[in-house]
Amino acid sequence: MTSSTDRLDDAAEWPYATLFFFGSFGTHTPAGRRLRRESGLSLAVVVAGIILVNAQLPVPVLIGAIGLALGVAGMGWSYSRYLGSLDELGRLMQLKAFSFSYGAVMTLAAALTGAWRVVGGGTIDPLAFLVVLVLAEPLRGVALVVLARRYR
Amino acid sequence: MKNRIRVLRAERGWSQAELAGRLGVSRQTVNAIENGRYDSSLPLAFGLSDQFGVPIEGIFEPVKHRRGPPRRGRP
Repeated sequence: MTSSTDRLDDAAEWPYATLFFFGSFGTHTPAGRRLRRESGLSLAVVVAGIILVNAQLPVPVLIGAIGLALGVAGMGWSYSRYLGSLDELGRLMQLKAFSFSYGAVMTLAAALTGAWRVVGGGTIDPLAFLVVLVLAEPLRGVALVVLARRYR
Repeated sequence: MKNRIRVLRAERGWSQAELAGRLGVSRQTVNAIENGRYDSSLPLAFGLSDQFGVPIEGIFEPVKHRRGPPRRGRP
């Protein structure tokens, strides 16, 4: 049974699983659905670009490189539009999580690159920068869950 | 920052979702402000003031930090 007090003091939980796995507040808003659609499309372009750059195909490598750049730019563009659609707390949480995760991973990447040079390693694959994305996104999800617990 | 949002909301029979809809923010944001976990921006504070018809100082009040006795200067 739900009393009138319960109805007024309804608990407002954050969507923890969605924050962790997708880094967004869900697809119950048009902005959330648009982010999912656009970032999915951008990710597909990035993957196609990586395949084109690495595969021995009769396609100029430049096309793959342009696809890669367009895909990453598309992700950034759709994310910035999503930020613009959020309210002040949602935006604060996203920006805090983004700055923490990408800052931490870029610091780690810089340290590892320096260490690689010190130990006399060979040249670094230009595509290694994509590791930043692979590591930073799960870390961003963790940061969002931590922030959601703080602001509940 | 302490606030009286829960009381003011209850007086009007509004749920958190209803207040959030009136303010154009998420329900979680109203909840975080109400529980003192997040201090709203000035525009949102004015929005709350407008919705409740109460001045901002009637909604929020600063938390007074307990201070120790004043330090005595050296002789």
